[in-house]
Amino acid sequence: MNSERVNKFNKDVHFWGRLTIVIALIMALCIPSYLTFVRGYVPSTENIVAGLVAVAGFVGVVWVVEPISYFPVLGPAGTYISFLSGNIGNMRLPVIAAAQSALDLEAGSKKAEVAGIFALVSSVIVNLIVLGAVVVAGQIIVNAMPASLLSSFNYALPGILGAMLVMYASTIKKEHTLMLIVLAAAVIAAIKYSPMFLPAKVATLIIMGDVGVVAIFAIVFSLTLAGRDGKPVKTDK
Amino acid sequence: MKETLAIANSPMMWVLSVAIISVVIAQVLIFYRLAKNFVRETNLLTDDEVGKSLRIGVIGTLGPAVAVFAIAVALIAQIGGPLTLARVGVIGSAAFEMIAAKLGSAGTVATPAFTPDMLAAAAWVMTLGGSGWLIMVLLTTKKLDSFHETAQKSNPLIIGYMSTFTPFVIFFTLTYKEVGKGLTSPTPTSGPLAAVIAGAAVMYAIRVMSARNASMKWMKEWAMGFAVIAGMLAGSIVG
Repeated sequence: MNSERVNKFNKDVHFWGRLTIVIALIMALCIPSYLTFVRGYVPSTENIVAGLVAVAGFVGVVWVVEPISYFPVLGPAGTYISFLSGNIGNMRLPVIAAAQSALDLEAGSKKAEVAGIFALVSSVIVNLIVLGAVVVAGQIIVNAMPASLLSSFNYALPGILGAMLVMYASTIKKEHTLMLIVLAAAVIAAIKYSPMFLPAKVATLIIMGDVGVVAIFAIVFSLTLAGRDGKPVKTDK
Repeated sequence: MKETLAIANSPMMWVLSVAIISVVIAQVLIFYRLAKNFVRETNLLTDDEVGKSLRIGVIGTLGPAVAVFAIAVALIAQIGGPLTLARVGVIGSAAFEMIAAKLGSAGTVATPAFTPDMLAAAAWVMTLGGSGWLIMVLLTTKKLDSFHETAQKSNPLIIGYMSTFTPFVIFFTLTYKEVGKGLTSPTPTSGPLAAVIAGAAVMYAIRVMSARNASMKWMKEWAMGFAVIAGMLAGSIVG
């Protein structure tokens, strides 16, 4: 593959990714600014600060950890798309993984990265269409749907997660899968019991960011294991 | 409360929220073009593979997208349609925005004390709170990418391991949380556990069948759809 073309593609991805995110940051401020500066609803600063502190206590660690820990799967373009549109764990990661698996692509390869972009594009569009339907006719749809059908959608994500676990477990070597399960279970347990040995505030932060924190351990584990295994001919996939 | 919702649903609020959503749409269209041109010039993927990827994005998103219906409807009742659209469509998960709205309005949201000032406060907190992710992405993505590239050159195993180990562990943790949520809820249910097992069984069956018989390969593309349906059925029956 033409490496100049690849470089150009990478450059374009970062340029457009950053530009759209900066624009989104500015645009997002329009709504509260309109309410406060145009309509004159000036909330007390204390309210905002108190709210922000509470939000930071709730997701502060997630802000830092998620972009790093999701990167190995999302890749650069995937990161720009996924963080702008949200719903990463329940929609974006699964469709990228499913595309890689259905097309038999090697995770982390350029092919997998680009196939993932296509999957993400349609994922975001479908997500927005559904959201549009909710906003326009949500109450009507909810009233029209039998309650049992509506609540059965709560099991959509667990169903996907089960499929994802099998998908990855079958591409990762058995002994590595076992090690990862032990590692994840240990970190989850440590996080769960962290209030017993960490100050309450720190513990809450970690508990809220649990998924990302566990993922960071997986990244460190990958680095250590890759370092130990050196450069063998065969990789996991 | 009524006055507040009238403001929250005013035409200008709609205009602003649609403007924000357009950034998201513009972004995916730009990336679609970039990827499409790149593929055309390098033949990295076949047209068939591009089509499959696009379809998988649709199949995999429908179930979870409908799953946020109920919470989004609740959010609309509390903070109006435009803010819901803008916040859930960008960075959002409906669940996070629900909590941010509550924290931002000093707990007044959905109560008579939810004044227009409180609406503004909630909007500020939701927006600034969501910006944390975007700012981090701006600061770190390019650096992570060059790290990724260096690692690829020095030891390809790193990328091979990282890009399979990390998602496995992420999905493992998410599964633990979903199953735990069911088992420890006030009315304990093993519905989520049953759904996980059903999804796993479906995926396993599809992998085995498509490995054995090439004519079953198309099933892999629909695997997520089958897993969602299996999960919904199993979850509803057991839960």
